[in-house]
Amino acid sequence: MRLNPALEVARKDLLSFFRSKSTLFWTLAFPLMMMLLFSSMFGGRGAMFTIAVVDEDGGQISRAFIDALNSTNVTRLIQFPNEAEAREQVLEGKADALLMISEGFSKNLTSGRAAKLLLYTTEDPQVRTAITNMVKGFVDAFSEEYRRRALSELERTMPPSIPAGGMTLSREEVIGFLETFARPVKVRIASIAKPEVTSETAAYWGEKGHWITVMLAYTLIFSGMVSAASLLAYEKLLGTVKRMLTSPASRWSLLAGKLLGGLGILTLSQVVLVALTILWLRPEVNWTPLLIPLVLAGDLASLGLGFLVVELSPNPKTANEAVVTVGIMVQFVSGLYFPLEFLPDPLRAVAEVIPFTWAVKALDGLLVMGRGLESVMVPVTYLVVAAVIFTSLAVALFPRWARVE
Amino acid sequence: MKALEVIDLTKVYGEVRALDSVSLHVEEGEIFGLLGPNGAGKTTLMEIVAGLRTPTSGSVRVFGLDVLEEGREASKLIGFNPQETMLYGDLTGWENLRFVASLYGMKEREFRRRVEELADILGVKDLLRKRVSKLSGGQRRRLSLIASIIHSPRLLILDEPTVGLDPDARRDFWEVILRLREEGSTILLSTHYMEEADELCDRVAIMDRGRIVALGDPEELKRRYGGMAKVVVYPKMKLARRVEEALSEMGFRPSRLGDGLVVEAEDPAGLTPKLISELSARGLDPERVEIRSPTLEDVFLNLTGRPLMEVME
Repeated sequence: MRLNPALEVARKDLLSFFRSKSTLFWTLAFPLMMMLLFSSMFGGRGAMFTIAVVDEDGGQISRAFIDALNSTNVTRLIQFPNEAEAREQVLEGKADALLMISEGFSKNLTSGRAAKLLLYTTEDPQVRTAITNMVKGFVDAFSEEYRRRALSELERTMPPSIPAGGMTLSREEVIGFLETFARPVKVRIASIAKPEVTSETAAYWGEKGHWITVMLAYTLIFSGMVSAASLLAYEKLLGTVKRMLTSPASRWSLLAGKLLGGLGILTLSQVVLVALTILWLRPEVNWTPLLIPLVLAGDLASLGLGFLVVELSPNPKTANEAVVTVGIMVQFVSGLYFPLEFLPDPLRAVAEVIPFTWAVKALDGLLVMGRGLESVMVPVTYLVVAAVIFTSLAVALFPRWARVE
Repeated sequence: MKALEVIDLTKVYGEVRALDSVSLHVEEGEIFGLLGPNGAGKTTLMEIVAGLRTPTSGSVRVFGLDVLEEGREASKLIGFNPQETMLYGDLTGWENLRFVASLYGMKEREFRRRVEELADILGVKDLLRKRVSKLSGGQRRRLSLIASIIHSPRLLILDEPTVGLDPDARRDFWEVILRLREEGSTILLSTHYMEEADELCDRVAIMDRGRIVALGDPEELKRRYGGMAKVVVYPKMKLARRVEEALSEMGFRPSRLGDGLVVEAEDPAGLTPKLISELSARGLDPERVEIRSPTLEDVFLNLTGRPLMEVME
């Protein structure tokens, strides 16, 4: 039987991976250390913040608002009948913030006026920033959805033209005019002076099941890029790329072998890390075959991006540095270690376009929240598109990179 | 048949002409040496022949195949062994060779047979199961050579194959190269050891600053450009000055070479006994006298005006 260059490249890379102590450390030991550290610090609660809610309105929309906020899983909401009791909870350190939904909230919204919320947070700057960003982010999304539905209903019921002050406005003109004003829910922020912030109320992210997401996502974000870099860059460092390029093996088969080897490394790492996480934390998660296409698409996107960064770098050393920098940045903005709501608005906008953020959301959706196919369709498509783009560019740039001069 | 034809090859990097209109050919079964200091253009020439670099102009044919147009076919005929050993330290010798064999699409059975055969010839059978990172420099060079010839190339390119080896290991390596030639390989090797070129090569091209300054049989080059033979007189240290004066009085123009005094001679065998008896008659018996034939180093000096070792430094 003929020895196949692509398979042999993959075989060689896998052997090298398992024999390199530093690679094993970064791909297996390091994420496990992170898990041990974070899970021992924050293990226990399901949500990261507790918010005391007082619903003085009691209307249909305010109840829908509370339900929607509750379903984000980022906060734990406890309802209180009045402000005094809720405020007491915050002062005793049993809640991190107080959210007041004033009387008239629902009525204001349905009558086209702005509905106001009052958010009291503790004076601790970290908790205050985090909760404010999170609640504002949620309110914006709720506002946007409400505005969209209200305008759509108006458009459906409004006559085609409306006389106004001696002239006639079309339906589209009226809707367009109203759109410029529409921001139905507003939040006012205030503080509650509180003696100290106890560890009970410190930020905490995630269910135990989220650690399965972290292990998978760490591997497909960081290990994927770092493996891709070392798989390609060290061939140049060793000079072994010359051996490949002076052989009749096609450059495409060499790159295919590299991708295959990378996928093998990532898959094995993911299996080991997930198994150890299960043994250590015994999380309750929803296993589904949908994880396979999701993780595979993420792995390919990450390897493709890693190859691309190496090929665009002037030398192997810079390539490794660039990949580590990009990998760390992507990890921190993708919602792996803390929720996106923590991020300032511009960074959050960046995070939303990074395909790996979608991978994290989808992994949590499947594993922690038990969602179905619909929750992975968009992320998988997005990751596959990213994988195709990154890998195609990597393939296109490979001959240029592989040149000796 | 011509194993290699290089025609008017030029390679320019910015303002540097690494190769300047180089032309040469190598006959099948020949060992052809490229000689010259670092930066002479030897490696650039070899890497273009191996398909690693593209020339600015000119052409290269390997057994009739154009390496630019028919690179993939040509690469099957070429074995390239650069200065680096190009082996993976965390893999064993066997795993490294298996990987290289796959690049040439070898069959598993053929690979095993060839590794056995070559490991025997090069005496590395015991090393195949060891990781390359545990091997010595000489052992890695042998393994790297096997990797370069595992697919039985018709043209073997060896870039400075013995650099860094001790004299014994170097001699062993020469034997392997001669054996490969006996088995039918054509060999293009670069070196800056003139002795190596003298010992191994059928023909050599002496290169300097991207150009070939001389090309031919080493003996012929030495005859033509090596100058006269030399007699080197090593006097007792305390008599060195008097011996130098005596040689001048005898009509020679001695020059210094380390502890020796060099005298050029058309007939060194005839001159040596005369010199010894003249010096003895003056009470200046030398410690020893050597006859030095012209070397390729002399050829380089005479053609470029610079001693090779000086250029190397």
